[in-house]
Amino acid sequence: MKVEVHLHATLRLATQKPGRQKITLDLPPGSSISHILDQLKIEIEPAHLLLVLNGRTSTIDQELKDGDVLNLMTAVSGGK
Amino acid sequence: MNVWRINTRTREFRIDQGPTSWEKLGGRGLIARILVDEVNPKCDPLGAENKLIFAPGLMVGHRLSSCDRISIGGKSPLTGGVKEANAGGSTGLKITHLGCSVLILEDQPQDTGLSVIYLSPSECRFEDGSHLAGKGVYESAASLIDEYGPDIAIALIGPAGERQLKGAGIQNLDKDRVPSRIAARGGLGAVLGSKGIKAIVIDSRDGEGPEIQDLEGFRKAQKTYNKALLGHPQTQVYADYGTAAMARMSHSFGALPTRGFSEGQFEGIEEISAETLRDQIIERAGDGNPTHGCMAGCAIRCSNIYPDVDGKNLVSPLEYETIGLMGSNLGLADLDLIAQLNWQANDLGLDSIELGAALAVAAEAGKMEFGNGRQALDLISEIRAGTELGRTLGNGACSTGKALNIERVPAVKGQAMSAYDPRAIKGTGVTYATSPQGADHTSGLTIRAKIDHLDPKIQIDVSRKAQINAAGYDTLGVCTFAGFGFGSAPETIPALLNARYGWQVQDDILHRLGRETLSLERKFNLAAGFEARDDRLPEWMTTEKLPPHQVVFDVSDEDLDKVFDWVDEDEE
Repeated sequence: MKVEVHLHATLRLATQKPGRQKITLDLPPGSSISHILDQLKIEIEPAHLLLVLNGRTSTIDQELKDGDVLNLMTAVSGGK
Repeated sequence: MNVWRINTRTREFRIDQGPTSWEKLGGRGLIARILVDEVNPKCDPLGAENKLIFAPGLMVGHRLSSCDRISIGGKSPLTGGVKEANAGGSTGLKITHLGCSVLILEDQPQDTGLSVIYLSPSECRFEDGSHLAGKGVYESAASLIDEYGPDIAIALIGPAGERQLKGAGIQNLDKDRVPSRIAARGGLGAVLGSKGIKAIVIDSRDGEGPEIQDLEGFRKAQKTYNKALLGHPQTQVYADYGTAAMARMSHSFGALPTRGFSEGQFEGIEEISAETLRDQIIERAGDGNPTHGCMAGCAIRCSNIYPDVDGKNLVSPLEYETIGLMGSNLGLADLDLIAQLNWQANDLGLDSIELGAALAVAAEAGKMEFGNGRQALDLISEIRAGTELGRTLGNGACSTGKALNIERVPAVKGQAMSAYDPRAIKGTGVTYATSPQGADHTSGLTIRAKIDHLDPKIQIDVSRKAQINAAGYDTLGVCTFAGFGFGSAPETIPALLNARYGWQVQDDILHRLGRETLSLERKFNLAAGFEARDDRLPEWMTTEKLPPHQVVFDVSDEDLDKVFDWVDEDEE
């Protein structure tokens, strides 16, 4: 299945092809957002990431389906 | 505490100590306190009874990273209610170095002349400002720097403020003496104009920073805070990309105002993104700088200098709210055009949020085509020329909607929304609806909360916390982005205050200040005539579906009325 991943700001440098804002990944069925983070070698801890799947806030263990659009950005953590 | 009062009619200057209830407040909270204590809530905001207050926050004065903001306030000519707008730059720091805790401009001259007020630690004098009449902010600031030397701070207005247009702000110099740090919202520039003042020149060369009671404790807390701030990953994002990084974030949530708040995603998002902004600044080089600090000592440096194709400075800074309101909201996918519109707004002394919203309303009425930047620039030239349409636009989005018979105006309490469509980020919608400030980007944004932004049932608590935090930080004079550092090391807030003032405030001081500020602001608005029905979004946003999520704003009125019910919070 194919998932479109949009990398925001500093995260676009965290991939194997630095500078790209949008990439399409071919993933085995049953993959979750954590598989994408592994594949892109994004090592920022999940608490510091904001995961937006198809326009809504999501979580790292969310299972993906074909045609999903994932936006990855850094988030603020600590404090309220 | 030293309260500096200047009567703009008699030109009398005096310093008093202020009541004890003012002593533990600064910035936004102090403004609210002074308005409640001294200003008739029913007064004409552009008349003699209104006061214009310059209040540095409680932490201002020591070049603590991102903690030297100036709050400016009074009764708003735009909303008719309480108003505080804040800015970075050097005004806050240098006012404290005069030995002044808060500066209050009172009364109103009877003639129509224009003055400049010069302040030093030992002097307040009025000087003739007629040579600056009608001049833009950039030329006026350069002229004042020539006249008074390079070490001054300046708070000034452009032609919009002189003409008392309700979208006018008050601009301040950044650390490089560029007059682009605008206390933008709510028409405070018109209040300064109504008092016949073009500029306040602050010369604190002979002054010194506020006293610190426990220097060792202060330095220790400062070190911990700096470490927390620099260690936060978001600090690097802001250094590299600035606030413009919000453009793709809002777009990804379907909340980016597009063509007059009619869509939440913009097909030109890549062209106006922070990534493109940064790449263009680096590629064009010259005057350009993607990482620029507005205040001396700032470690975040979220600002930028945006150059044209030849590397010549087009505008500094180019920020998210302007990119949203003057970019996607006008259907413009061209950073160069947005930068030109921004420069024009700055030079006229207008709030780019209010103006962007007004231009989109004008576009809906057929005065320009969405996506046509030239026509947008032509409309702004009407403001400069002082035509009837220009006055309408300069008075803001509601004024434009009323004059051109457009119902779809994105505003609350008369003030235009910032660049988050509240139907897709409903917590921010709650803030827009209920903030005593009107729809305001500094009152408590919720887009970063890890929640479902479309669920109407969970937004009240999120907005309440964001509003309390925002009011707290604005009372401290702390930039919202420094909140990442303080969020990681919250103990440094009471530690810094206690070391500086010799107080013994507790760990909950940020929230105490925030709640006190909001309560005072609500009190002033209540006395000014605001009611629960004013704490609502415009009706069309509750019925018109916003693509791509096809959502309306559906947080219930009953819930909106609970936002300022502190009981739950206090019982936690």
